Parts: sequence; structure tokens; C-alpha cells
Amino acid sequence: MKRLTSKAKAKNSMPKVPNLKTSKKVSNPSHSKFDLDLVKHFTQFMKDHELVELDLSSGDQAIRLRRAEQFSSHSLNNSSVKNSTPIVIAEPSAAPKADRAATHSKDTHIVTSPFVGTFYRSQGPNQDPFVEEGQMVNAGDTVCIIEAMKLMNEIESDIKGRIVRVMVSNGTPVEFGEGLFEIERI
Amino acid sequence: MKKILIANRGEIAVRIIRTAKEMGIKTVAVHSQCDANALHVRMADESVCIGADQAKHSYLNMVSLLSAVELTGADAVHPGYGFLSERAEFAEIVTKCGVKFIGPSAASMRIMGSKVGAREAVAKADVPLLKGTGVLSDLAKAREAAAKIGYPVLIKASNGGGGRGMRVVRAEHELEQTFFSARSESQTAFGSPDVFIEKYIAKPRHIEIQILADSFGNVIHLGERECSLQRRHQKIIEEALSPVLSPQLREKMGRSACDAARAANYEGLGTVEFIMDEKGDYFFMEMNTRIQVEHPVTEEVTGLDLVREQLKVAAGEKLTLKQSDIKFSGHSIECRINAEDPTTFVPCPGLITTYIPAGGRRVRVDSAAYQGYKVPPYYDSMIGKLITWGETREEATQRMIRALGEFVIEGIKTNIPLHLRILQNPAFAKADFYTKWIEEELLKPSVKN
Repeated sequence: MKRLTSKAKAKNSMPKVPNLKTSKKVSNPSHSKFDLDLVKHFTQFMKDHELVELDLSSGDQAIRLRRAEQFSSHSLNNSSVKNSTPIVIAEPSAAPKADRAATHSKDTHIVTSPFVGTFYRSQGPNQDPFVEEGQMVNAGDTVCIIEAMKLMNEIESDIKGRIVRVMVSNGTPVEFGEGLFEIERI
Repeated sequence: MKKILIANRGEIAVRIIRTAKEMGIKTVAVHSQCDANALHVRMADESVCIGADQAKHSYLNMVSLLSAVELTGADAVHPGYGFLSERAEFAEIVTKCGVKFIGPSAASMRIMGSKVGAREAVAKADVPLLKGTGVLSDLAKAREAAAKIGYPVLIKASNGGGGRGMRVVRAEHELEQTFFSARSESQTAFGSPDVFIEKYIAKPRHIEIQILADSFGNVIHLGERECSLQRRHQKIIEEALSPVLSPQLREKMGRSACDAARAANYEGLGTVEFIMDEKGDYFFMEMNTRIQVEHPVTEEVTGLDLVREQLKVAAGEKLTLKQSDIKFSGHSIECRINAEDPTTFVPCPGLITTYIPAGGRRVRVDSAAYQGYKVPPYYDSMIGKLITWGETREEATQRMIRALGEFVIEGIKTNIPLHLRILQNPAFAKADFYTKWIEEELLKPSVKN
């Protein structure tokens, strides 16, 4: 999800070769042992079978292992060509925005921003938010304000349901299509 | 200027971002939803999704653009070409928000935006004009004017542009019907029925002069571009310098172009378009108040970075270049690579499965395409420009043929085969073409689309 603040660009803008740190874990803590044992097992498996990439998925967990092959460097003074192939662990492929709701097993709907602007949870600085997590809303209820060019636009929920998650914090700039609220359909 | 928001997409957005980066200026890319993975978005320091896929919801959405400017704290907006680049109200509203619009003022745009207004402004500056009229609202006046100018004549929409809204009248008996249908077409396409009449030239060349003006009244020209290779008024191949202009004619046209720019109190980069008849007489057609697609060929023969010059002027700098500093070296050709069928010209958006750009000495690729990029169907079909330079026109041509031959784009169709056909046609080597040559001679009428 792109943000309006400056991005620290750690990678080239060309088609990416993921090279993410192994410290990135699948979020469920009960799987940490799963990660390490599985990694060790499949690392060896890949080396034995000279595999370059391995995609594993089980239920809603997925892991991808890729051997990042470096270009062999033919140095000028002809030193031996080393073809080191470190094993890197890529995080599960980032789901497109629309699918993020699908990671939750319930039937959820995302209210997205129809404008570029600043997200506000309430009518004014000293007022209560329109909605809180856990609250029930009807279709047409105001859930937030997006301020654009000094105009306050009230954003309504398109469905009836319960606010599961407020996705953006108060006063943050949002772009068109950005997820604002996750609502569980009732 | 610390941060520029580029209100555009595709190759020109990439182009602007590149120069801004070289100048240490931060960049903000805006994009529609389908352009989330576009090259300009990846290259910029920041990006903002401004709307749904259709241009009217995104790249033409002024409110969204201004919101993005506000939120990112950009202090300048570069409109590129097309989209809102020649919309005076956009320039005005950006300026009102205290942000620099990189281009001429709204007032200059308005003068040059109306074809009739532009003609009137440059006539006062003694720039040669095709015999023509002001807005004609009734048939009797049209008939009288056409007789005075002499058939064949062209009925043109005053608010038209991009080659649209023009109808030929070859003889008096055709005038009535064409006059009324031209008015109604103009109303539908451009929101105004205003038409005027001009002398029609049968085999014209399109020669345009690049000008550069600062905010202190200094204007210079950067030579011409030959843009006569067109299809349906869309340029296909452009070159600098024109193979048919003598240095004297260049100087004369250059002065006319600068006079035209002054007549509009112009600031920034602009292009004055002329139509040239077979005798070499030239006439003002229109002025484009923005950077143009084909600006690279001028860059290649002058050694200048036109976007850099544009940004410097916009930042309030005085032009340090004098006319005598402008020197031309060699010859440059540009081929517009479109995602389209090379024979039927039907647009061909889709996934680019293999992309191996041309390269090598004096070959330049200005493109936003890459392997794995999905060309969207919502915008124009041009996916990039291939530009070559050579010491001579012949060398630049051979280099372009070589480069086109090695350029691999698979997954979509492109007009590369058409470019090769044009460049290898004997008429190209002789520079024996005019604006309808591709349609009337290369693609002989027997090959119907």
C-alpha cells in the first residue's frame, strides 16, 4: 500500500527480485517453530534438487523460498568465478489491496476513500469519533471525514455491519482507493 | 523549487522525473488505480493514487490533483503534455493555490488556445498567416470569404486542436453543406460551433519551431522540427533539423516564432507550428503551450536538456542562453512506438511479455514500458519513443533502422514494422513527403483499414 510520505527506496525500480530479511515472520506466533524447521528442511531440499524457487502454501499460510543467483563476475584479473547462491526467504506474496479483506475468514467489506485528502475520525478536534471498532453501522451512516482542499466530505458506510478495524489513524493523508474501515457484514 | 508534482503519466512523467532527480528536486507521481505499477510511480520519491482508471477520474481530475499537491507539499506542478497541460483554468487554479505551474500563464494559454485568437495575436506581430478569416457565423460571409481566399479552402473549428475539426472544401458548391456540418461537429467535439476559414494547402509540410522564453521577456528559438510524417494528423516520425530548411529560412522562421511567443507574453517552453507549401512559403498554424512529445530530437541536435531549461525558467531564472549560443550538430530522428496493429492501427493494449529495448551508441529510448508491464486501454497508445542521432541524416536513418530491428516487444503489437516501412521507402531518403504522404502514398488507398 503506497503512502503519501516519502518512501525509503531500498530497491531498484526495475522488476523486483525480492531479497527480504529473514527476520520477517509470518504473523501467527505459533508458527515460529514451523518457520525455522521448515526452512532448514527445504533449504537442503532445494540444494539437493537444484531448485531455484519453491512455493509452499497450507491453508492461509504461504512461504516462498528463492535462491538468489548472482551474476558471475568475470573480473579483469581472471580470479575464479564464484557463483554464490544464498538462500533468501521471501515473505508471502503481497496480496493485492482488494484481497486483503479476504485474509480474514469472515465476510468483510472495506470502505475505501473516494478522494485524495486527510482522514478525520470526527467532525472536529474536540469531538467524539463518528465510529469506534466494534460499533454497528447502517448503510449510509457517516463513518469519517475526508478533507480535501478545505472541503469536509462526509464518508458513509456502504453496508450494514460492524466496524472490525479502523485502518488509518486520525489526521493521516489518504489516497484514492485507500482502505479506511474494515466492516464485517451482518 | 523543492518538490514537483507531475500531473501526467507514461513516458513524459518518467522524462520529467529523471531531470528533476538530476537537479536534486523531489518528485511526486500521481496515478490512476490501474497505473499503480507504472514506471513513473516506481521512479518518483512519492506517489499518490488520485482516482479510478478513466482519465476524467484521475489525470483530468483537477480537485484530486490539487489535493495531492496540498497533501504532499509540492511547490510546483509539471503538467507534461496532453491531459491538463493546455487548460488555462488548471494553470490558474494551481497558481491561485500558491504553487508554481511549470508552463506559461493562463493568459498566454488563452491567447494561443483559441485558433482565431492566436491568429489575431500573431498577425499583429507580422508573423505570416495563411489567408483566413475570423469566426464566421453565417453562410453568406463564409461564401464571400472563401471566394476571396480562393478554393480549395479549409473550414476549421476555432476551439479544435490535435488535428481535429477540419474539413476541406474544394469548390463553391460544397461549401454550404460542409459549413453547417463543420459547425455542428465543432459544437459536439469542442463545445463551441465557432469555425473559421483558411486557405487549403494540398501538399503541406509541418515545420515547427521550438522556443524558450524566460519571465523577463527573453525569447530564443532552438531550431525546427520536421513533423510531416503523420497519419490522421498524428505525428509518427519527427526529425531535427528539417532536411528542407536553409539556414536563412531557419533564421527567418525562428524570428517569426519568437515574435509569436512575445505576442502572447510567453514564458517557458513552447512550440510554434507552421505549415509550409511546396514553394517554401510558411504560415503560422498554431502554438502549443507545453513541452511536446518530440522534444528529444531538438535535445539531441542542440545538446540541451529542455526539461531542465523549463524548470530553470519556472524557478525564476533568467535565460543565460543567447540566440548566438544555440548551435546545431548532426541530425536526429524520433519514432513514436505505439501499442497498435501496424497495418490496421487498431490499439493493442495488454501485457508486455518480453521487452528488450534497443541500445548502443547514440540510441535513446524514452519509454515507460518494461517487461511485465500491462499497457492499459484507457490512455493513448504511445508506449515509448526511439530516438537516434547521427552526424548526417543518412547515418541517423541507418542507426534508426538498426535500432528498430533490435527492439523486441512481445505480447502486444507495435507499429515498429510501419516505421521500418517508412524509413526504407525511397521517399524518406529524399525527404520527399508531406503531411498526407503516409495515408495517400505509402498506405495506398487500395489498402483499406
